Amino acid sequence: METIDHFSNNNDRLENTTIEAREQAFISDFIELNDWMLQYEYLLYFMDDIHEIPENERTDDLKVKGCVSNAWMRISYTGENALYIEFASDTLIIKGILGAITALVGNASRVEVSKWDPQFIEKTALKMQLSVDRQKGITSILRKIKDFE
Amino acid sequence: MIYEDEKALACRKEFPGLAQTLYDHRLIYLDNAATNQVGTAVIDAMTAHMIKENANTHRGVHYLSEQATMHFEQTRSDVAGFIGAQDSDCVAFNAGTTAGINTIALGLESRIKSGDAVLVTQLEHHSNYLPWQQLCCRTGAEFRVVPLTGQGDIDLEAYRRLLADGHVKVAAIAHTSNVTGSVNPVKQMVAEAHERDAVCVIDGAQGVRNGRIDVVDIDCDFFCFSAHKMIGPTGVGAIYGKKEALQKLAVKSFGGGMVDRVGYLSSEFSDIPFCLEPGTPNIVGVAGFRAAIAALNRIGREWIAKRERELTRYLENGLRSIEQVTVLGSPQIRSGVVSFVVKGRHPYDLASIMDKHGVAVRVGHHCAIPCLAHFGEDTALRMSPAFYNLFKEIDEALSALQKAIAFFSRWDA
Repeated sequence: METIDHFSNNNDRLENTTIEAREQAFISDFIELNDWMLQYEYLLYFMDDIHEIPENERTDDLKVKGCVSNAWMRISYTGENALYIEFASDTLIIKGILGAITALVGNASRVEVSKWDPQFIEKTALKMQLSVDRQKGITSILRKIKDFE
Repeated sequence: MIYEDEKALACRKEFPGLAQTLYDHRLIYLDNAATNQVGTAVIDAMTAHMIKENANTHRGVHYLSEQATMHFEQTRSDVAGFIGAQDSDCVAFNAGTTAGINTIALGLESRIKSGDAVLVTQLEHHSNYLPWQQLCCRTGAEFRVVPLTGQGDIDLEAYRRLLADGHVKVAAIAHTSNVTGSVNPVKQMVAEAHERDAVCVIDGAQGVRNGRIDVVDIDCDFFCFSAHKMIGPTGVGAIYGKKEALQKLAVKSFGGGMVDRVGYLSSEFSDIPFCLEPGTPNIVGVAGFRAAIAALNRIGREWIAKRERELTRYLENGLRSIEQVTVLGSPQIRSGVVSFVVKGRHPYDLASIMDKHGVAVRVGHHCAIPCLAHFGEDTALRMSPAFYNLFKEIDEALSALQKAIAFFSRWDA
């Protein structure tokens, strides 16, 4: 089994490629860890990737609805027609997942994002580790990102 | 070493769900305030019904229907006996506590008008809060919420003040809180509300398993509860009502099985309780309900009540011994439920890690946002033991909690 240090130093593997390639790297890493604790740790390293919405800007219109925790999302364009996604969450695990989404989307163009068919939850143990309600929340976030115009 | 009751060890064998292994850990199920595990007797009864007497109840003249009807009506009698009701006609089956309270709120609506008031307490589950709040919105009646004391008990002085003007037409009160586990003085509260001619509705969902309920002694007008908090199946429950209270309730849901005559412009409805049971009931669920009641009676209700209070006390003491933990409330009598928060940690994160240790706890607002607001929280963890839990399981759950706290401390800024 790989150690988490091997992966934590290699988040840059998810940079400078296509979304699909980055997602495949994420899925491979996650599966290779094969231990829920290491998988959580791997996820938590992605918290650093988040562009965090400041606390005073976390308004209700940015809120992703859910019962057990709060999450906020704001999407805009950078000058290069790439998406700029900001997130906030009051839970660390969700923050890690949002960080992973940020890393996967990276600086992709609007066209590339709209063509993306997210697989990283379905093909990893995240499917088991996220509650059904949270999965719905993440799916809704991914849909909003893909559909953003 | 805590003495482990032999009876508890024996009881566990009747609940196959407890024997599961999750993530290489034996399941420790501490979410009983939401739903109990079901016993083999319940599973067998539901299976037997579906194999041997799967038919619709009432008005069938064939053997299967007769058998199904006989057992259905025997269950009504068993349920009545379980809560101390003197007449099985005072029990109407439904989908559970939420359905029951909504039926009562809608049935009382024509008797509530602007200038009247409806009273609930701040520790109510949303099921006993929203139906009354919305009733007030529709009728223009005043919605009164009794605050809690610092300890998390109902403020009885405030309760009396809110009753004093005689405007309260309905007082809807939880028997036991699903957040703090506080067992409320419902008998006393009902007596005081009756002095002001208010109809008293008790949400019995949490209290019905872990204490002996006697609706005649409580003297409430209505009492609602669910089978899934009584080691029975989900989707079935009952309303108890005093006969005259049920007869005065306006029927608001219509269909087959609840009518004697249907005319072109008007109809005549059946007597209680049948007029409150439109459509095909959850007959399989009722079969399981009956087996659950038999099992609770066989296991012993006094023993269950004592055991659950001991487990709850042990759990509360254990939680209070963890430095970062704040237990919500310290009610005078607590049974079956302890909610808590951990400094600097979100309940969702902690519960996720505990789950991987095989420990099932609940997290969120517990459908009691006003109650959590009293404690300055919008989300909390909740552990709720039942009689089949062991003291050593509570030790292991507390250990899993401490591991979860330690796990996240590595990510502190």
